[in-house]
Amino acid sequence: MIRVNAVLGKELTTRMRGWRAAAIITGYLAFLAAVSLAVLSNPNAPPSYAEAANMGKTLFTWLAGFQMALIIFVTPASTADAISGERQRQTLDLLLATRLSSPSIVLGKLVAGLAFDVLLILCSLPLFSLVFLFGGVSPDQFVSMFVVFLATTLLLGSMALFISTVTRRSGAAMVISMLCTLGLSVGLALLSVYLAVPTASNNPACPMPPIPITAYFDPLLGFAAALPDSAFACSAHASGGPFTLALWQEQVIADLILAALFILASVRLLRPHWSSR
Amino acid sequence: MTVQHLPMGAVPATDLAATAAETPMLRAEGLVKTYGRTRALNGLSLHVPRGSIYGFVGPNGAGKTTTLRILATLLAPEGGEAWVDGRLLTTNPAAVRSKIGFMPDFFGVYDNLTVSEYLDFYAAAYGLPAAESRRTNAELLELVDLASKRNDLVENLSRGMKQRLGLARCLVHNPQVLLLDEPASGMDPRARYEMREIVKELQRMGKTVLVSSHILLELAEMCSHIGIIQDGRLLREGPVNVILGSLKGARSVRIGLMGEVVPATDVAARAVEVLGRQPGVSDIVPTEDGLEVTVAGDDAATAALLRALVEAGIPVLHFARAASSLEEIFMHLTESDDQG
Repeated sequence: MIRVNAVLGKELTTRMRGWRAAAIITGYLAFLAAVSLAVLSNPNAPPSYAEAANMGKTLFTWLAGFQMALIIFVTPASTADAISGERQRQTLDLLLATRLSSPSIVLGKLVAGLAFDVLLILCSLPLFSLVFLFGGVSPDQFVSMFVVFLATTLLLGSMALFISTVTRRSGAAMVISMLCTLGLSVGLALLSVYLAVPTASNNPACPMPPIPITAYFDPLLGFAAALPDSAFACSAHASGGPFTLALWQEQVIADLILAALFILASVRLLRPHWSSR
Repeated sequence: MTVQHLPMGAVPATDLAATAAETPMLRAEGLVKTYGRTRALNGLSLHVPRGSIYGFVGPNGAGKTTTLRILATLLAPEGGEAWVDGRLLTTNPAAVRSKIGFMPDFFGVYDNLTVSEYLDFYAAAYGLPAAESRRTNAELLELVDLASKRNDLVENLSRGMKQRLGLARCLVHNPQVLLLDEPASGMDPRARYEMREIVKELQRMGKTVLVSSHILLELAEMCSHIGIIQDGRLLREGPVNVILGSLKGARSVRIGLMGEVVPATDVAARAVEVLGRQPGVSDIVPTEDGLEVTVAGDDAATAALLRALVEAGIPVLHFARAASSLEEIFMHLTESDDQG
């Protein structure tokens, strides 16, 4: 029998205990359903089949937008007290005194923290599938947006976990995580716009100016690039060889690299460094 | 009433009970640890023999908790080395953790787990197979008298029960060494008694226990060895009987005197006069019901005191060795260290 990571097993057992988890899922889906209803009930909605595709794109954009907002505001809170909470409850020493390795503890906490957020994202799939009734969004675009969601969840979750590892108190970890999340999303977006404005595009087929390097670490860039009819669609880069990466793919890779760095740093800082003397 | 207070000195005690051929289960040499400008450990060295209950005694801020946390691999010292069962901590701390069960003085619990889930989690954390851990956990709950609480949430347990659960948690992986930091802290007398009995039982099972405490009476009763720490250094360590006899071989005797036949003050004054003439008597202190006498020497010297009192016609109600000797040792050693 496969033995699940002990931390992951315990966290999943306690997080899903009680009515709270079901209430949150129900509430979130009800909210998304209300958004869908609001979009579809628009009195200015075009009745013709030809313009139904626009309805599909509009619905997809609104749902994706709210989903992205959920990820940005909720994901950091899922892992911000992962380590600092243990420290504050005085259970961290007991955990570190066991045979669990630092990677085990960090990954167990990360997966447990993000599992519920991923569950919320997956539960929203049926609502998103309404889009296919109208068209306008290809399955590729659908999948790419959800990949952006998952990569953003991983990035923000691992960043909050790192902050939790280096912060003594959960409250401070929560605040710092939210500030860093806003900085990473809104802050980097503003900085990137500031850096991009003076640069003009030389390509008449693609009026978007070159993307500054800072933008690649901003989850909002991946989101914007994955939207249907995105202005960033023409900013695909030839990375050499047979591969050409779309902008959202490059942003996802940047997310994964950053997330890996945050996880490695958390593992390194969790326990005292024993050096041979 | 005149009371005699004679100066007391100290002779060095035998430092180690372990023979040269027997490796201590726990050993530390020259440990140094600093917190900011505060030096918590200042070259501490200690040796805990196998199968012993080693009482770690010291005033607040002496470095007891820091020492235990280093031995539990939770802190890295800035200098010195430490070994557990011959394994160097710095080489393989993960392997050392398998041999150690650590119970800090303050620890939290996972409130939304039941008692059995709590132990199952730590068993999994130590890599124990589920079937084996279920059996072991049932036995542990019997040992700490929490079997009836197995399905209760941990948050509903009393403080004493949480302490016992903490002890059970230390034992899930059957460690050879237990590090207990103030295990009886906040417990009522009965609970403290039960904790002592559990620790003694663990020693009978072959485990080595290092327990830090302020309650010297309990340590004297429970421990086979004592280490006295102050300002980050070990002042003295060794078997309890050797430590207790280290003040020039002095021992304290409590004598209860009857005051019904003659007025109490006359009886006490005569007793002081008689005892003061006995060889080896260094201190006589009045108590509520008689006197406490410090006398150097062996059992014969102690028996001579009783004989002298009886021959002088002094009505002795009770005559026994005082149990507070470890306290005297501790106060004397830490005071001597303060005076340099």
